Amino acid sequence: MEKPSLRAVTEAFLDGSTSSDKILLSGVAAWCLAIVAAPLLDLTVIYSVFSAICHQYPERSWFLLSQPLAVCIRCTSIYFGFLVCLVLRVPPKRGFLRFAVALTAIEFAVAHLVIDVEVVRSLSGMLLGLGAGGFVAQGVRELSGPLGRIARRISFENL
Amino acid sequence: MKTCKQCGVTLGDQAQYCMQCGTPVELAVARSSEETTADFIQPALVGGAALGVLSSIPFVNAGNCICCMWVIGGGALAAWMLTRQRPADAPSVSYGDGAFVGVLSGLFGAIIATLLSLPFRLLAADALRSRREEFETLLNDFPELTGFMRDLLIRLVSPEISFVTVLATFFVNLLTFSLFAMIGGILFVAITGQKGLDRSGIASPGPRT
Repeated sequence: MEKPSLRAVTEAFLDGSTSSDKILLSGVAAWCLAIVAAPLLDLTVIYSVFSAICHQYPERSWFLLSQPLAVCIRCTSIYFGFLVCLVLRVPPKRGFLRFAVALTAIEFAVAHLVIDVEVVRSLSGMLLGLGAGGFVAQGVRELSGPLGRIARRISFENL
Repeated sequence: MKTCKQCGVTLGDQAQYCMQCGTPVELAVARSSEETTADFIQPALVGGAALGVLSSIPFVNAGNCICCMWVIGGGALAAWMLTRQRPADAPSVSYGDGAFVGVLSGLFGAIIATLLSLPFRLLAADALRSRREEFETLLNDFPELTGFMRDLLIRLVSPEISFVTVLATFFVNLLTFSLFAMIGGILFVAITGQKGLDRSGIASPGPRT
């Protein structure tokens, strides 16, 4: 049996995806790759960029080749959960998102007041990313709605 | 031929719903042309002002280290205001609307944060000077980082204000604020249930109520 080419596999994988889905998936994949690339390639620039959105405490981060990842465990879990959601095309479920947000909020409070468990922190972040991914993909897809309305309005005003 | 006032797709003469966005044709036609950028400006300005100010004040801006809390919150605030100002007979706020008002609030927030960073930079000149020295020592461990990139990184943490540092600050703010405020706007719409769901709880782009 002939082995399917990489191109055929990619096309089958992206079948039914809109251009906004592809852009979002590429962006999130690049974002996650950068998180892992920072310790692998020892890139200070990536650490500097991510320092604006994460505390980067080494004691709250995973390590790769003895270097911490570019963001903390919670952020890493959220972003990779987000990526998994886009790759597996998990349908957006409002109840699941609400549960994940509540779980993360409770975990955050418990971690700072009672006990901080790394696995729970990671799990709640992963669930949040999984729950949010589908909605963000839907929102990016629908961005053409308001953008189209505004473009038409501008063109009307210029007539 | 009719066109959907919501998304602009051409519709058949007998169409009752837009096949692209699900907006009922009657509702879409009834919606006046007042629905414009002006709809989004006020909420985006408020959300942008909130996220811009909170992201610039020293120490307070550390909140952004918790998953970009202020920026996501600013986007959500803008989406909340957009929801509040929509008339009852108008289509509810879609995820696209939430995304758009979030991006706009990120844009305004980036402008406000960049402008506010100037006086804070002058006020914290002494602290920034010592931070610059520490940073230069740190960069000595990375001899491969040379030229423009090294110069830019040093200038970003130094108290000096130049066109390059202001522009670099603005673009970094613009990128991160727009992205995370957009997520905030979308998630607000998703969590608060502004859009119709089917019985299984799956968000669908069906007719809006």
